[in-house]
Amino acid sequence: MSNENFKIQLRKGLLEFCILQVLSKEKLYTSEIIVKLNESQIIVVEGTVYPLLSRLKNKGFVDSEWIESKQGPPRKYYHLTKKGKKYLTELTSSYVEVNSSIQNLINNK
Amino acid sequence: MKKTVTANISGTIYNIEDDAFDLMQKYLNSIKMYFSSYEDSEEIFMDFENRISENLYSISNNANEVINSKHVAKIIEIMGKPEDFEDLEIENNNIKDLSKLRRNNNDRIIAGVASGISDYFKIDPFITRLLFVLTIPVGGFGFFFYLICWISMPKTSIVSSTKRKKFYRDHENKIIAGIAQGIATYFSINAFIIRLFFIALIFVNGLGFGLYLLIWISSKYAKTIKQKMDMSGINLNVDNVEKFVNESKNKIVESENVSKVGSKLYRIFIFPFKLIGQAFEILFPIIKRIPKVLIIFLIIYITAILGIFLIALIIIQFSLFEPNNELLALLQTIIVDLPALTLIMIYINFIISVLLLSIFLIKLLSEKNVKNSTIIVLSIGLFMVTSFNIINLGSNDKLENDIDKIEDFIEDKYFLNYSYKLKIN
Repeated sequence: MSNENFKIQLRKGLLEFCILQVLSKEKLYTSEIIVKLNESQIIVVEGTVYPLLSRLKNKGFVDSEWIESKQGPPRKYYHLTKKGKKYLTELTSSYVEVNSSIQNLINNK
Repeated sequence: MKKTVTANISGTIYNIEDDAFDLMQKYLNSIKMYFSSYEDSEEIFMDFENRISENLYSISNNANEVINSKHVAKIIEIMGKPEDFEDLEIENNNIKDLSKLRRNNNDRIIAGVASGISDYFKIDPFITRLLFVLTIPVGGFGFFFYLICWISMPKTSIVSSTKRKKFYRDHENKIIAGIAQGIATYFSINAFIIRLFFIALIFVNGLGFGLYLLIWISSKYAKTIKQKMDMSGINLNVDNVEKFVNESKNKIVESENVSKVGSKLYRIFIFPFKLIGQAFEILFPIIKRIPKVLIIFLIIYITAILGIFLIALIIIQFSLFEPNNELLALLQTIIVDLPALTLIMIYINFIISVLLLSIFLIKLLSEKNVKNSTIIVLSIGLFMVTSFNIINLGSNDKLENDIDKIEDFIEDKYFLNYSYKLKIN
């Protein structure tokens, strides 16, 4: 597995987690989510966010509402549901766990 | 020199070179098709187009530059092709699931049982659906088996493979419900032959009519471009979409020309059929909105009625029948003397036991952890009730008498004969 492939796989795996993380602070519409994720260089292609958001919504982790915008058409804002918040805490703790054990591995070499 | 066109993408006006416009359209079509199986596909697509517009705005110097194919290629690179999202889907849905027996929630009419089974055996769900419907008159088997599978198969929402041909009814070339046209497309033959076939079958005890209705209930219209392409088994990619859309446009123009030329007689002949189609079109959504619980209730109810009716029929037949030998005569008295209520209870218990056993077996097949002890407890309980009923039957004086008679009879005729022969020897 090449270095590039590893990075892609890693980002893809973490994307769902990152979307929930970004939404935990404020409600955002899709483009804002993408911009935030781009800042942290987590996105491979922007299009992947759309099916992911739809799936998160179907699972009841996020919900959406239409809000009028000053320029252009109304925007669909996403926010975390109660279930989503709970799911995020679970994800966060397992991420921290994995992260610390990998950190240990790296430090012990 | 290049021709440019003006396009409005999510409220922003762009000047786009002709070839870049074609490329963009192809790309948008492939995206639209990809999301067509999603619940809120329209909204997702709108969102997606919005984002494309934003990106295009920033890379074209605030929409001041003319968009060329390099810009579009850049957009596709940023947003990604459907294939790129597909990877992610598969990872999340766990492709291994396809080898397990699951209800398919993405492609369902009632609960996705038929399409789940089709995924498992890699066949067209239409065939499975038809089998279910066709076996309903066979002692309610189709009903029953569906119910069992519904309870015991866990659900999933796998995006099923797009390569297999699928049967859909054809909305554009329909006369009643587009069934003949759908079948014709599926087998790549002329719809006229299929129509003739159906009409011919009507004269065979109305078989054509019944078959048409069955297929009608168990199939649906091809709505999205993806479904329309699945009808003839075309693969999903950017080039094929464009080709397909162009071809179907031509077809529509063609058929319009034909109908202009077509005689009034033909239209008069077809009119009553079209009317039937319209009527059912109105009824169908109502049928589909009936809640699941009611459907389950109906299934149980109808099967129970069918079974009781069957028992009654057997009893009546037996009591009307003139026995021509002694053993049969005795059997007849026993059947007539059986209390009907107990018989029905035994029947229902038997059915439920079979049901529970099947649930257990199918759960094993779907490799779900079979820790469900309620099923086992319930089956044991039911078997106990059934045995109690049978013992109760035995304590019925009339019946005991009958059974004694049969025992005596058998002893006399076979056993004693045998020992008698032994004695002689």
